[in-house]
Amino acid sequence: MLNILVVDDSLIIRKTLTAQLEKIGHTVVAQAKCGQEAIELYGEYLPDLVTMDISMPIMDGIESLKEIKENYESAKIIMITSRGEEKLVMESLTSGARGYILKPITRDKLETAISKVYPEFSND
Amino acid sequence: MNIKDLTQYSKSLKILYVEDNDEARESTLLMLENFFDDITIAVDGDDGYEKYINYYKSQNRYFDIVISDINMPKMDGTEMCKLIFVHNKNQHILMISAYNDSERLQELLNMGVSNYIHKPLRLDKFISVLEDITINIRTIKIKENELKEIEQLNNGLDALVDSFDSYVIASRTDLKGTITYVSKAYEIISGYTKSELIGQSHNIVRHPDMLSSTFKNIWETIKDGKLWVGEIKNLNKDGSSYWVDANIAPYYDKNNKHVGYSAIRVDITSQKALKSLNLEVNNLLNNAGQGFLSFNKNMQISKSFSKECLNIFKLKDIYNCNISDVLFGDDLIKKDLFEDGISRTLLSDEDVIKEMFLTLLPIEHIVNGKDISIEYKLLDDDKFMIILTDITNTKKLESKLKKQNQLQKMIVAVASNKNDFIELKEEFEHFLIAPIDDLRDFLRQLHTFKGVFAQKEMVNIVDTLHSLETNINKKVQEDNTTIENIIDVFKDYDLEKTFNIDLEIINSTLGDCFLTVNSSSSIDISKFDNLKLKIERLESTDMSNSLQDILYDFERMRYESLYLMLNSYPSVVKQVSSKLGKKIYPLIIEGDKKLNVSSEFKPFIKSLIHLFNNCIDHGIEDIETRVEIGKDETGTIVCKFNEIDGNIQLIITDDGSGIDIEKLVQNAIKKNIITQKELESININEKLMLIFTDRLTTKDKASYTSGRGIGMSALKNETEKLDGVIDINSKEGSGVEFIFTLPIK
Repeated sequence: MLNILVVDDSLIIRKTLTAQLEKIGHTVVAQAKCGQEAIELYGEYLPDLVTMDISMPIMDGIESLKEIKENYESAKIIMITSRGEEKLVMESLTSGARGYILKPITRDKLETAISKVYPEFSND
Repeated sequence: MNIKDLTQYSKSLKILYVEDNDEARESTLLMLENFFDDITIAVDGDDGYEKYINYYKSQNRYFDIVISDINMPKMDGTEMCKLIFVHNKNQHILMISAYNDSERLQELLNMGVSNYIHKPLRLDKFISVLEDITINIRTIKIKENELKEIEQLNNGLDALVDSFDSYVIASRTDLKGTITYVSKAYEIISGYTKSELIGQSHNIVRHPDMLSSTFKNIWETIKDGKLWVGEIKNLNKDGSSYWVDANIAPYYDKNNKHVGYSAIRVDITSQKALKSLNLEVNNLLNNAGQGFLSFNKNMQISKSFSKECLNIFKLKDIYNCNISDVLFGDDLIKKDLFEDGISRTLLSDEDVIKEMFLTLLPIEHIVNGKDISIEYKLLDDDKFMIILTDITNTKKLESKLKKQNQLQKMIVAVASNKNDFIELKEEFEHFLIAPIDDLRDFLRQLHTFKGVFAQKEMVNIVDTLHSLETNINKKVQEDNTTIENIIDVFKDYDLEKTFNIDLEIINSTLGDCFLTVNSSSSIDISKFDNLKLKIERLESTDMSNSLQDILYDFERMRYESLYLMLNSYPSVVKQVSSKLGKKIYPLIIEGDKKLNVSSEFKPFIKSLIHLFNNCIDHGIEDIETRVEIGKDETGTIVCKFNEIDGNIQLIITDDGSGIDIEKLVQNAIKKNIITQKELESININEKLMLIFTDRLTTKDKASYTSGRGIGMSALKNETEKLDGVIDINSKEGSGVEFIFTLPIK
């Protein structure tokens, strides 16, 4: 099972995401409230996967993604996004994101997105 | 040949010079060096032969010329030449002989030595002999090259014949049509062997599907000496068939005599199959009623697309058109998203990511007034496929369903508090025709109506009132606005018409008499029972599942108690909080159900909606903040009332953030409601009372629910009409308590 870093400025989203991920059987090793914190925690925990909110105060998800990818080329990052942010998701994918999940986050969406990054966690 | 030309040529020749006499060798070398650059020296026949063999072994070629003395120790010239000729019978050998050696010279000439020269060596003689040898060598070399070329040509011709045989489906017949020759390719395609075919009539491969008129035409053409070209279906040995594109022509022998016919063919079976498959696929696509098209990385639409595309785009042809222009037209935002997505897809080198880009492209667009859904597929060679489906009807159905649900909600809300609604209707109708003298009072009423209608789920009139309010507020903020200007804005809105649409729907559902029933505070039981019957009848026609609830509400209407007056608020709180995304426990109303109050309380009770709205919108924090500061993530609002000394005490509390006094005071100063000086002289309680001042709000932006700063002042007005007083207790961070004390009378 995977070690995951959850990045979101909303406490509720962090809580729900963590609960959902742990239900699937993964371990949330750390949670970050903003892009800057995500960079620091990534270096500290070197997780297998990051879920990254796109719009956050101070440093947004794309900036954070770019910086993590610059330092850790193999970092696997999934973006968490809302409708209307399609352009930002496209930029993220071009910058090395491995997928995206459109809010509201459901267990199905999570599992599908993870299996695209780690096919061994696919249900089929 | 002059000497210069000769030496130029001879310099490149490889020479073996064999001579045992040192003196003779030295002197001859002096002369030879004028003609040759590369001379190998041997000192006797034995040495000469060894060097000859070694040279061949190391260079893989022979010396061009061997120059040798005859009379030598160990092995003489004759012996050496014999051995050399065994290896290379074409070797040029020039013997240098003494005059007394004619016998051995004769023997050498018989052996094949072509040139000799007598001692002592004379230059003119040597040149003449060298000339002969050189010409000889050159001629041989030219011949060798010619031979090589011919050999190559032969090989090429063989390959050509071979490939003709294996790739060209060829056959010949005699004049009667009996097969005289077939190529290997013919054997393969027909399934017959050469021996099975030769001697047979060409009809052996004729397919029954072919018309005899076609063969008649072929015969007439070729008998006439002309070429026949066309498609023929042939029969295989195993009974299957194949299509060829055939060229059949008369065949002439070497003497130009017409001896038969020859035919070459190209297999077009797969071509034919593809063509018919294409036709089938096109048929399917054209009749699917969906738009299928593909386009390349330059956004150009490919030639094949389904007919429905032209219907959707209302164009005569879309081949080579830019897909982004055709599909999204002037919608620059969607165009940009589409083009950006496509170019990013092309730049990505992973299929998984490419697919993800496609999921981000616009999935719906209105084309020529129709709702079109768009699906994207990635094809090979950087091509994309688009599937367009007209979903106009589905959309219409969806919105119709939504509207029906909304209407149902309205009917239930109206019917469950009939008296309430009839009063509201009369008040509103009065409001619409009453002269406007006090603008503030007018706006306050407008705002209250909006709130109450929203409570009744009357979306049409609420939308209109909201828009009117927004426009009036805009006007108010302009300079030099007079009350007449405001009245003009008001008159632009035909509120009566909008309201009547809703009324008609209510009438047509609940029956005409529903709204015309006399509305006194005591209900005529017989009329009520009539109504009840009517609704029961309506229920049997299955108009609404919720009518069961209405019936229950009707029962409740017999009581005229404060408790029942307040009873619509639990659903209001639920509705507003879900609209605003707040989590709140169901509103509890605590108090004596039998406590009756005068109907004069009704306007006050109605205006409480602003207070509840404020509590939910401003008071209760969002879920996340509540969790973060350690509060129960679900908020609580409580409404309590009791009777104390002939007064009604109504208390509404929430556990929200409390009133932000700082902000309230700042806004009051900003809006010139209070001066800095006045502020210093008032206490906290008075400061809190500022919340009831007209146009004062702690919100920076008005929402649908609250924030205009009108509602609370309306509530204060209604309280004062009942000679009541308001107290506020606010604890920043933990909530507010509003206490209304109202004389029962």
